[in-house]
Amino acid sequence: MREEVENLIREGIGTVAPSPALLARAEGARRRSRSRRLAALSSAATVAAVACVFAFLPQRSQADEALRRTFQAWSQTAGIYYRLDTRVDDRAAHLSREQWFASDRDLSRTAREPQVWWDVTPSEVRLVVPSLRIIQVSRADATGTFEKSRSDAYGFLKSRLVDDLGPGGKRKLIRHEKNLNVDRSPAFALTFESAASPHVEGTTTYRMVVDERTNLPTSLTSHYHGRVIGGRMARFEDRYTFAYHRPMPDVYGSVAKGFETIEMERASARLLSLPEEQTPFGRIKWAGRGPQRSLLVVQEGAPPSRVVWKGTTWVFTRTRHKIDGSFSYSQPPDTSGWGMAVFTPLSVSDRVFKDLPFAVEASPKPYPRPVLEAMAAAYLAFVVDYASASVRYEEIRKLGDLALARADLEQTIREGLPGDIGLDFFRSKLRELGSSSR
Amino acid sequence: MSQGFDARTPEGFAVLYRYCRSILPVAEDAEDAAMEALQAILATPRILQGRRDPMRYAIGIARRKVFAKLRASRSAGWTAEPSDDPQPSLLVQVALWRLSVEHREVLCLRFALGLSASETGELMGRTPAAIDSLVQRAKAAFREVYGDIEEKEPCVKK
Repeated sequence: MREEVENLIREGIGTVAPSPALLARAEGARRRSRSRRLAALSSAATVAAVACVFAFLPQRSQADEALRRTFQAWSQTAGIYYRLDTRVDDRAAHLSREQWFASDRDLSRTAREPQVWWDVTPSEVRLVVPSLRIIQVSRADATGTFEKSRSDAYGFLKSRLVDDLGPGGKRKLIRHEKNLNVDRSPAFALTFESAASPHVEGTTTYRMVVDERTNLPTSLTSHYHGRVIGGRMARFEDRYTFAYHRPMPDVYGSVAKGFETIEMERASARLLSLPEEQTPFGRIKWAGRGPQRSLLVVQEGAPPSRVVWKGTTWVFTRTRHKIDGSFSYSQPPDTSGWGMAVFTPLSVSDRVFKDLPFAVEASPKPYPRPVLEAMAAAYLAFVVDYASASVRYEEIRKLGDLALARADLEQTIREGLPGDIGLDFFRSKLRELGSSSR
Repeated sequence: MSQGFDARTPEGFAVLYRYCRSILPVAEDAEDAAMEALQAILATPRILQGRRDPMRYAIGIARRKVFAKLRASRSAGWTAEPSDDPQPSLLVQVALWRLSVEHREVLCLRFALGLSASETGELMGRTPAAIDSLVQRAKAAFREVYGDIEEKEPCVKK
């Protein structure tokens, strides 16, 4: 049996091989690591290029290739990171900065030396823009990420939890567990309770575990109605990323700050009135009635992607497609509401974006408005496309046109680029990309 | 075993993936961990140059990614079930995933990847003697689980 166990393990594990898709990803990573970065480009201009992709390359495969190359050129841009992860699930919602950045060392550089990491494969699109806080929305809660330096992480979190007087309600310390042993390290835990929010029934409790040796928090779990709704902390060199949850209306309150208020009712009414019809993403169907009504985008041979109206927000869920054609829902089975809502700068367009159910959160020092607008256009185009969401393809095209048409964006492009390089440069580049990708 | 190892080649990457897959029951997690490890290596290509044991070092990188995933799944409050990709249907893998993480890991490192007791010990932070003991315990646990599966769940095919 001794030999037998060894042979069994050798045959059982030794024959495991990465899937062709994974090998392709690895090859892509290798290729990218070898390639020299292209010349620095203005972020706004590059986003305009993304918009061009949709304007000039109507076919999905061409657009993919062009986007792939465009983002390759989008390195060394003006302080913009963009994060977009269509693998929308619990894990994605809590991806730490470490995990984002571990994916590509280029991203571990500081914000002063910004890089954009991109990866466009059929199953994932990831970009990082730390300047924009991207909010993941679960059934009744929202998740955001923020960062603090190592030295003040603990105080920050404590004040955040104990002293936060925001719309989510005041938190109070209800339990202090001492002499814990977590991962063989001495630790203690603090449990806080959040008073009922005016918008959400019940209370939310947070349990923060703190490593006694460093006096720094190592994890935070929150419970709502007895259910773990997540919360997680990860260390990245001298920084912490802390995923947290807040009641949805709370988020909207902060999201709207500094920007126009999103017209959710109008946006929702518009989405709710979408007819059942065939779209480039699949057939739109409706399921259920009333506040839990679901909009499904049904693709042939795949389970439907869902857009569920939760009364206060839309929750997008999608499926994870595997290389062998099978699929799995990416959210944990007990939290069917986990998903993603897309938030982009609200100021993007009075004409178009107010009609869409997306909100915005930007950094305290936002980029120039045209840049944000262009980013949002590209972002939305991506998300809507890849998440098979509810917005029609024509609207994506419209966004591309919109981004191109905006005079202030063009002005930014002209001002932000050296020499005479302007929008025409990107148009011509994209035409080249389009022709070479055919 | 380590000599000539290059994580950047498909063969080297397969070793990383094999390690990740043997520890992480969810295929997507294993893929992500292997990719993250590869990208960490690619980002600093000299990291493995001149090393006596590049394979052990590369697996060490993958190990950190794997354990980050494990911690993440625990702190997120749910434990993912093994997904339904075709590879895990192997009886051996099903049995392995029912073992503790350290048993899984030591069996994988020693027998699937062929590391020596001292190399395994360096990775896992134990002495070679402790690794030998751990291997014995892991084998015993594996035998028990394996026999149990064979007996109670004959539907799990090799």
